[in-house]
Amino acid sequence: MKTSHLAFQETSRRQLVKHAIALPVAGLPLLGLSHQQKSWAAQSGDLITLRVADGQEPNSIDPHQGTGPFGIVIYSMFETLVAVTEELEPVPGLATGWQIEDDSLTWTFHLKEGVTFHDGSPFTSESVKGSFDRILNTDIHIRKGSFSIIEEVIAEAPYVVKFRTTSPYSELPAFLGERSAAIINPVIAENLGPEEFSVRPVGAGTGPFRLVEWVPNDHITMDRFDDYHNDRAAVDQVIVRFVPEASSREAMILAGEVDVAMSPSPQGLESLRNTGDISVVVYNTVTSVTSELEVASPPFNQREVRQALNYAIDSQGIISSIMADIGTETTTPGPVGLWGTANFEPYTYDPTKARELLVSAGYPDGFDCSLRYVSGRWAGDDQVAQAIQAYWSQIGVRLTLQQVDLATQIEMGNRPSEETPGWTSLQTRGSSSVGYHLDRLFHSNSALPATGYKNDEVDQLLDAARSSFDEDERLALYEAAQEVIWEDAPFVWPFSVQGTLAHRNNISGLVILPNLDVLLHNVSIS
Amino acid sequence: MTGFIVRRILAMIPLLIIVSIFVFSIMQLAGGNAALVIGGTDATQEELAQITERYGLNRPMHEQYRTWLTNAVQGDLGQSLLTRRPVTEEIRTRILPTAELAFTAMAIALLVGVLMGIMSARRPNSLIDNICMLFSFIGVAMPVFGIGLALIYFLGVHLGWLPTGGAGGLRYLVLPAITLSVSSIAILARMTRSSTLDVIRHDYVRTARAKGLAEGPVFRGHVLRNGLIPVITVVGLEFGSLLSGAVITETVFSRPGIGRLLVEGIRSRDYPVVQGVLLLLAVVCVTVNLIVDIVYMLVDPRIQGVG
Repeated sequence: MKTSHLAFQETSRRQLVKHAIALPVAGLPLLGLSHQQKSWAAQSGDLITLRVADGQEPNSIDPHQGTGPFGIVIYSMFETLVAVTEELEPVPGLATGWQIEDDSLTWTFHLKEGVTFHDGSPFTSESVKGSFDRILNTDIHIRKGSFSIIEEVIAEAPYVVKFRTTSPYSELPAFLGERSAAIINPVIAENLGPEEFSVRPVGAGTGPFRLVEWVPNDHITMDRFDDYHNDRAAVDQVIVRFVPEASSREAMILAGEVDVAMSPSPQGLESLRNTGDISVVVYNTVTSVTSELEVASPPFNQREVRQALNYAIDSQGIISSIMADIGTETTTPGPVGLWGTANFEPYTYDPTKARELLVSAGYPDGFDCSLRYVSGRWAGDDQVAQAIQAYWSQIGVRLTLQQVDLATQIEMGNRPSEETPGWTSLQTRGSSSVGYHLDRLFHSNSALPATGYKNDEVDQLLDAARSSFDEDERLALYEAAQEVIWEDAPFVWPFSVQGTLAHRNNISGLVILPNLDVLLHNVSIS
Repeated sequence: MTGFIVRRILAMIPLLIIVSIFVFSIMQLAGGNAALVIGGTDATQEELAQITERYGLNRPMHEQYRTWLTNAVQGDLGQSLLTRRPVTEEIRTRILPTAELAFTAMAIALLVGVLMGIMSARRPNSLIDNICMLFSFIGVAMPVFGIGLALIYFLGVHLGWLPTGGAGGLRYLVLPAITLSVSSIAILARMTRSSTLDVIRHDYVRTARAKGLAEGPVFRGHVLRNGLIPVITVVGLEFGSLLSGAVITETVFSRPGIGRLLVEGIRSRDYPVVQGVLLLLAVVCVTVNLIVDIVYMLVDPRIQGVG
């Protein structure tokens, strides 16, 4: 089987140049250079400061206006009614509990008492109503459309809030756990106005840290909030520096300028590990790479063909030779590793079985098809596309690769499936809620780019889950839907994406959620 | 003299209009969906449509251009799609780190480059000349980010002498300024060397020597005075490449400057920011070249009034 690797190891010249430069530089620390632990970042007084280098900067730190990536900052400063576990399962947050009434539309949330905002004002049902009025009734919220399921928010008593939805929506608690549903101090938001609040929402959160300053393209500084309603954070201060280059972030942690470096490059991991005082964490994310087939017309309208294409791909080979071992085999059509996501037997590499399936589907000589993808969106995308081409050629499927720009990708994705027979598109898919994920990718009513996938059984299961308020029943429905989809294979799943992070060994308690948000509540520095 | 300057300034106007059209269309033609950037990958089609409507992304291009130019002339470059802050504000908060970097790098390049060129020219084919020219070969050939990363690893990580990135005092300026100046040093050194050598061969230099002038005064008064004139042109051109080099340097050294703003803007299809920054860079380049022309005229009276 390994012969096929040759095909995609012929990387483009650009890739070679990239590696030729990246490798010597990343290798420099290996050339017997010692790492001095000098620190340039000012250790102000006796403050315990956590210093982080992140590659991406949020576009706004107003949870309602911003679309992220938020990384560390948003959950440190703001909280939601419903909190999430490490598997993004909804658990009590600013609300201590909730229940649905008999009409299946009205939810009652009981709020935690004794919570204060960073400016000292109390958190009450009015704050909740104010936050949602801002989301629903102004043009501020960038994803306002998703919230249109909420018809009304009523502050019934100081610590009781009612939400009324337009239709039965069992996922409301999970939805309210999203950061874009965070509770802000509406008085401060009103006083500052959206532009100012976007950059300096000082005093407006209830989280364990409060904003000191944000210097765009440079850093965000946060202080511990001493009146936090849960256990106080162990560090006094957090400084997040925005460093776009992965190699620069590696240099910073090697030089001792930061304690945590987010997303170091795969090539740099080895030299970081070799220093002895830096740990590298590889964690699962909700995201999978998918090759989404236009299933409405031949040849992809046959299940055997789709399964064959899955069996033809060697996930492990792709992960080890292209992704530098950062990735896992996909075992679910849902968001990986989430509460509610079910895992199944993977389509393990088996070209013989794949060929047999093609024969029984009536394609003994294979067929022609095309894959469109946007180059350069994630590290290794070109090579993964080439790998798919090489693997499929082994079972006689002749794949043409077509690089397109993002606009074309979206435009073609919006065309009815019948207009693009024989097409598949390379995507990355992941979201923080299993229901949302399955609905938008596999429900035939989905507003998202149509692959033409329509399976009545899946539709029924997803509809039933959406209006089922019994948690166990709902999870069972989602699991059943995922099983049907997995068997049906409307996508080819080359692998699931993992994330990386490096931290100095004296840091503990860092929690990374699979949606890439980071929780600092329990971080300590020894 | 005044007439010349006025003519040159008037000539800038059509040039800037052409540049503005180019700047405006380049991002539009580059494709990519700004609505998707604003909405995030989780946004539904409905939300994307709302965003497109709200930001006028669906209006015809010439209409968008007209609005943009009318506002730009009045100092309003629009709002960043991503942060929703005024573009002028985004630029204002980042102009200082970039100016600091560009001027420091220019100063280093002038000092070191011209000095190297002169040293080489005084003793052509000597050891010093060979070393200087070897350095300038390497300097021209090495990509800016390669130099930057090498300096970060040796001086920042290995020796721990200087911070690897960020902005702050002078210490933070050293590595990026050196990185940025290397290729300009190389070009200035070669330019100075060749134009100086050119002058040395002229009759009036031989005459000066023949009339018994010492080598020092000959070099300062006759050779350099004339040999450095072409160098001034190169300085003007190099300023432009320093600005483009700053784009990379600021990213590698994570400095919050104009270049970084541009890179992030391009990455996220933030049209107003990219257009605003490019326009600013174009204006700066054109202005610097105007200044160079004026200086040129002051230094070399022969050019008076031409152009």
